[in-house]
Amino acid sequence: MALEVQARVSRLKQEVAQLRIEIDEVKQAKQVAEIVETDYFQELQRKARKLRGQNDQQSEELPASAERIG
Amino acid sequence: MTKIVSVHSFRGGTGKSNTTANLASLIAAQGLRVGVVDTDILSPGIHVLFGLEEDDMRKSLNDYLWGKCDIEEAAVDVTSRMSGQVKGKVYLIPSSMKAGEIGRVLREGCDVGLLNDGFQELSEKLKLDVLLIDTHPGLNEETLLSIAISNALVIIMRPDQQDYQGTSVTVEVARKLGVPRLMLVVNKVPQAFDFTAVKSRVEQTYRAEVAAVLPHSDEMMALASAGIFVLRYPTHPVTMELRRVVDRVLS
Repeated sequence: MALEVQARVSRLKQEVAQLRIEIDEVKQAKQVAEIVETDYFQELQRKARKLRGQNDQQSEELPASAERIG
Repeated sequence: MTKIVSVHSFRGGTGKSNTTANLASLIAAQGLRVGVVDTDILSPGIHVLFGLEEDDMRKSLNDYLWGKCDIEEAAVDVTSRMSGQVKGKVYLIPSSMKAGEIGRVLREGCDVGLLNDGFQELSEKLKLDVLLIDTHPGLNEETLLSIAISNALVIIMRPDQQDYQGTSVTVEVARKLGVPRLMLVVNKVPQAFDFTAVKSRVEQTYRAEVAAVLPHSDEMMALASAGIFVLRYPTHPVTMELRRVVDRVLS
């Protein structure tokens, strides 16, 4: 009996250590679509691209102004 | 240029505000100037960790969003409340605790464009090195904006089935917004877990960096809202892990 309990505990522990993460991909795709298909998100995405593009450009401009060494 | 970092979790109760306050303290301890904005307007709470009472707040983020003040007027220098171990500065922009004002946000929403302007103004006027945004759980417009303008996004999750799905949605959405650095923090992990296995399983599942796996800590629970954990326990394993998060965020 004690052995059985011990075996069960060790099985449970193994299960815990393995940490099963279950994600419903169909549901996930639907949840993501509900957000990214809104007008607000599209506009935000466009602005974010522009904003990050500007930052990239600024950092790219630095080496460019240094006579494009190499 | 100010580094903007959003701290988010899909659900409440993950320890998001607590983590934000601790990260802010560790960053300021390095001598940097940090702003913390509580955009969790519907359930504000981070001010408590910095020892701020409702009476200490002259203005709040709500006042700024309703055009009643400039955003820097809502900033409270909380550095002196942090047991004097901080070389830099921490400014907190709290959300209003007044039920009527929370209700107004619920009814009217908030102007997301104005929020964005506020982040920029605040960074400039207070000469911030880092701006931390404590976001509202879920993915409302304010949160999406915060993610969109961030240089780094820290997503907090617990090893709990209820957090897995929402976190995967957040990760996908953040990728579509092109956040340059995205990292996960697994919080409140029971001591019985194999932490290395947790880290690699989470990394595998979300194809994202796991910056820290934090144990469920009795000390942290005991301290609760009575102070900043990393300042009280500077050598605790949780503090060490949070330092790693700071390194990843600032690198």
